[in-house]
Amino acid sequence: MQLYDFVCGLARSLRRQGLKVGVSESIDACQAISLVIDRGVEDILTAIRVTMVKDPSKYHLIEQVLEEVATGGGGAGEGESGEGGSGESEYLMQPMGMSKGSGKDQSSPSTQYVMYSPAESLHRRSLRPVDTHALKVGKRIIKRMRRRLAVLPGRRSSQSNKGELEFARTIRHSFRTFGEIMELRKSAKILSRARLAALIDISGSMDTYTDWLVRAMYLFSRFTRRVEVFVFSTRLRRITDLLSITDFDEIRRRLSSEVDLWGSGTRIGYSLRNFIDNYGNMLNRTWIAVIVSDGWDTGEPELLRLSMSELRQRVGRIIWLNPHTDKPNFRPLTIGMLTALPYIDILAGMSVLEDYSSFLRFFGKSIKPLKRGESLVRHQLERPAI
Amino acid sequence: MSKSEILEKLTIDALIERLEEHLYVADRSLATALYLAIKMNKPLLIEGEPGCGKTEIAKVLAEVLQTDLIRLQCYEGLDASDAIYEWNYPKQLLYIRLLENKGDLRDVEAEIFSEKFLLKRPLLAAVLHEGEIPPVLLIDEIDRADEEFEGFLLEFLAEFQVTIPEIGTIKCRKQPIVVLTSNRTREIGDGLKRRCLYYYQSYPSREKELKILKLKVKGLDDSVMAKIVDFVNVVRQRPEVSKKPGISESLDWANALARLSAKDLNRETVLATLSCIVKTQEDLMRIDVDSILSIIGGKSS
Repeated sequence: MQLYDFVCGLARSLRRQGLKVGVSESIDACQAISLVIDRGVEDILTAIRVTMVKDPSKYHLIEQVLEEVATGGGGAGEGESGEGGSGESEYLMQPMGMSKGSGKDQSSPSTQYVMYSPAESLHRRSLRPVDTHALKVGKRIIKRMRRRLAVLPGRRSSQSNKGELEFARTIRHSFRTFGEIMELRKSAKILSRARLAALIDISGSMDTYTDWLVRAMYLFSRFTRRVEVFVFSTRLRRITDLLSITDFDEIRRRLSSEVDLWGSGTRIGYSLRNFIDNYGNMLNRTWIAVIVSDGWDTGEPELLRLSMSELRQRVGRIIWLNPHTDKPNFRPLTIGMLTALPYIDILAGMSVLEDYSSFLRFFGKSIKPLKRGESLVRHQLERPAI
Repeated sequence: MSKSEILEKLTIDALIERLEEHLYVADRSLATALYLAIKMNKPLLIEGEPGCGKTEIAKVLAEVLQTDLIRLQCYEGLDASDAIYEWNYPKQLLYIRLLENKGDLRDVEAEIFSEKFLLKRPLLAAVLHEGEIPPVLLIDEIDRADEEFEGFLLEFLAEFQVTIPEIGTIKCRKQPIVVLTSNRTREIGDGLKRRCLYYYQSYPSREKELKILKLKVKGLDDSVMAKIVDFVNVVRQRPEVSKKPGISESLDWANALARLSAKDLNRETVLATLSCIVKTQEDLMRIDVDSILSIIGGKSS
């Protein structure tokens, strides 16, 4: 009974720290701890780690949470009595060198914890409701974009001379020749998938386009199943998790309250470097990188050049969406654009997600199979000397 | 000790000892995770940097438990037919031709959809395993497989059974010991994580890495091994190096130096063999051998 209370308190505290600890994890933890209970602190901690904390970046929370449970904090906050994990858990805390006292006031029924939260920010933004028509059009365009850029086989297959032998088709075909198998029928998977990493600039210079950017985040997150969406200004933040729900209003609320980079300065090179360092392992030639930015960069152009060059080597295609590209007489003269231009496959405007004819203008012609170093810049510009 | 006793009398300390006998130096935490996975009949998901011994642990565990290792290497596009079973279509076609105009149609049908024409892929092989001790099923680099396959695994890991429409449902007699590995090239879904115990294998401490080298590499001075470990540790900490060397790279390097009968880690030796630990041209250009040698020289003095 004591063990169960201890684990429940622990699970509640871990949940409050943002970890996904369900009932199955708690059951596993009970079982695991009971298997190593007489083995000492280290093994008990390992048992807790392997069953309840499945994110190595959160390992540091364990000791903090254990102390919280020992001091009775585990039960508070979910409408249950604060004693849920207190007295009973003491016997587990003692071998770990922790006691109920540990300098905190036991008499107070509710203990408040003030701690740092990375989501706290000065640059929050209230976002306007979405234009549902634009969203509908955008969804249709993103579907076409996926077909245009597909490099991976999907579920459907079509007849081919190179693919796998199809038993059923071969037999069915043999009926034409009275059951005599004259020809083996084969099929190969149709290319219909790609992976997408979208990096969206939400710095001050992109303020005018906030509505479009939010829509783009939502649409890109639905590009295919394997998508990673990031926002950047002075640093990079992964927002794939924030977008992994269907309710657009909830997404809007999350982006507004949890993203703290709206309207800051821009360091494209630094953010890209950060992206490659932290997420570079996942990239390969089946990935498409979409960068949405006007190219105003306050960072080092050399860092941007190096980052773009490395990104070029790692992904299949780089698409850059610049809001100014839609304007007549546009010239990519910002320092960011000038530096990045040699590495971009498709430079397009934001209208590609709003207007089908614009999408066709930039993505319409058949996109040839990938070749390393091949450039597909669609925008007919006379490139200025860099 | 009989085979069944090996599992029954398994303890964490004994596991560490047995792993070391099979040349695998395991942390106590890793041994505890393995022990819990075996005792709780739960799959163990090991994540970590490439080359840190994730795959090796499954191989060595199979040796320690004196059982078979069944390996499923994941890759993009891996589907159920590559992982569970597939009918041997060419053989079936040939058989149909041979039996043409002979025998009853129903007999032929029953015959061609029997176990004889079944190609057993790793998951079915694990289910059908007959040994006294359950096999170690290694599902390697699960992060490379598509999310659809990960979804399919959820069911397999919960039920440990395979359904073949023509034959029926086959349930495993003894649940295999499942080890999944991931290099973290993508996030593994919450559903799969929930069904597994989780262990993160990071780069080893200096002492542990030195112990591994001493255990596995023969014919190299201890001082050279210490320098190799220090050098590799400095390279790992350099932010400009994109592909960080793991333990397997350290071992390759130490083996290479042992073959060359190197007596010291000097500039010439390092430059000649650096490609053992640094695998891209860009990283080779970025590494300043002299400065690293001076750092580790300072450390050792």
